[in-house]
Amino acid sequence: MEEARKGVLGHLKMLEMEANNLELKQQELRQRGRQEELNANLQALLSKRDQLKAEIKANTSLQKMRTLLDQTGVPYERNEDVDNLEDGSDNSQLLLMMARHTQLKDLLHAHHLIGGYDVLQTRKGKGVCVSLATAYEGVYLETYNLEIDLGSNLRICRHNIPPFIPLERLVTQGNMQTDIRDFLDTLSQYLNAYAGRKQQLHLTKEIHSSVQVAESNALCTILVLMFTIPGEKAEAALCTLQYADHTQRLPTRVNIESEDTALVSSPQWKKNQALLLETPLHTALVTMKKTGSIA
Amino acid sequence: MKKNLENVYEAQFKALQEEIAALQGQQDNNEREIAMDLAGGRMQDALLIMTGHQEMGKSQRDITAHLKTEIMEMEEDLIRQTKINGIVLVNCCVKTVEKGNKKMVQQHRLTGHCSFLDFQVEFELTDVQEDTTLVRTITDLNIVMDSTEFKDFSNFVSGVEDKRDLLLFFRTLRRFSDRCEDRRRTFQHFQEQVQEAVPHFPRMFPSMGSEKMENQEWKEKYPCVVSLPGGCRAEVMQIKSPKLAGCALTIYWSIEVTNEGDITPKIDLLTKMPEKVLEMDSRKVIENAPDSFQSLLRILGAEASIDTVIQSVAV
Repeated sequence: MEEARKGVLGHLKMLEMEANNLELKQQELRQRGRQEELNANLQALLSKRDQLKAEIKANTSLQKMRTLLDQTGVPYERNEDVDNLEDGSDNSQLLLMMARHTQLKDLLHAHHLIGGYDVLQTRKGKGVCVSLATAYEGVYLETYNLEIDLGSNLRICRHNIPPFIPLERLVTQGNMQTDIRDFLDTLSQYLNAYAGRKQQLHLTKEIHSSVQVAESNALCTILVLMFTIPGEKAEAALCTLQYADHTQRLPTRVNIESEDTALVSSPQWKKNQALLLETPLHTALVTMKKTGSIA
Repeated sequence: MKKNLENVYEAQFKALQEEIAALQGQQDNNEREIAMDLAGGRMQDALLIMTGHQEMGKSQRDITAHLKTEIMEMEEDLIRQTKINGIVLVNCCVKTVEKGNKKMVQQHRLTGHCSFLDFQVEFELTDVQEDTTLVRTITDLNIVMDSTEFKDFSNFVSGVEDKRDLLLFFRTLRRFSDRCEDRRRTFQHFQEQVQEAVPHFPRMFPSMGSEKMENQEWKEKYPCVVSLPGGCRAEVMQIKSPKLAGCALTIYWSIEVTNEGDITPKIDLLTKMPEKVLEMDSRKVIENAPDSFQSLLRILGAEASIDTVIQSVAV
């Protein structure tokens, strides 16, 4: 009997030991798994940090090279200053090219920003496309495009210039064949003047809701506005602005009419008339409101 | 032991995260200070090489070659734009002032020249993404030019700065420089023409025994008919008669610029004659000379009119 009990106990003890061992092993495995996970995370972060460091280093070298290029003005040939900046022959050549790449990109973008014609070759050199940018008081407005056929005679084959701009006249009476740049400058003048007048009207409608626009034409060369004169009678005044010179953004003639004829011939209104001739419309109206001439 | 290990890891982790945040901040700052456009496949490939991560299948030689091609194409493009725009841009530096989801503000610094007129232009560009369109505005404009001699142009420049009309500035600069070139070319032409003609003058005055005179002696005795006291880029041309002392004709060629960028060349003729000569002028030819010159200008143009005046004085 004793022996049998000893056997069972012994067996049980063995089982317990095995179970303990198993648990220990599992714990070890879990710990190792956890460790590996932590390690992996750490590695990932380390790698990210090293990547960032490498990027910053590359960027800084590139910036230094670019600044050097800008200062020395020697675009491409290896010069002494550039040689000194090098840290390894292979990469330095690449660095120089990268710097030159960014420099050219900036210069080309700048040509575009200053209102350049952005000339583009089309149809394998048989044509060019030009863009005419317009802007007013710092705001970039519409861009118009022309495609010119480079035959024995220059010919405009496509464009999106509004019909009320005298393109035909400028082509036939102008110097497009002999001085394309002068032709484009003149066309640009017309387009920018139109854009400017249009923008003044737009701003007037937006800012001065008390001023009614009775009439306006597509080219914005004739404007009829209705003002409300402050006072008990709340008289109205009709103001006609004529822009006879289509290359200008200011009117050539201002006419003010009202039932109250005395008011219209008053010195204040003579001043207003002069103001409207010399100042952009939306700005003139601000002054006229301030002085109490209009509501 | 296990707890300790975890703590160590956590500490390292946190330290690395902080380091990365700091590095990120540094990178953002660097990119703002000197904003460079690194977009485009070739540049991205090149950047990978620089940071030591090369993509499989793209050798450094290939990438270098492709980059070289792009650079050449851009250089050709730059020549085309420079030619059609008539403006030479030498440097362009961009700095990012603000960068958000829908808004970006960048400062541009341009240096360059339009023929002989140097400029340094700084402008702030604000791009705002509104619904479907991008609204681009110039929010500040600063122009520095060495044009102290051109008072008219300086006034125009101040006006254009106030109105932030960058495009008008460059359009007008170009046309102004074209008109200056016209003037310089014409003035220079006459200066050279007269200097060439000097040897011929002796033949007109045979009684002076000038056949035997050397050119140098002749030049000293009969000063040039035409002189440009301020150089061929200035506004004034003086015409003096070699035989009538005290008689001078002056051509004033000014180029006016309005605030709206309208350019008007104005050429005036002024006469300076001694009292005695004026008294003898019964037909008021000298008094009417300035007006006559204006009529001449309308019919013959600048060069021919000035030529006529010089001929009438030289003979």
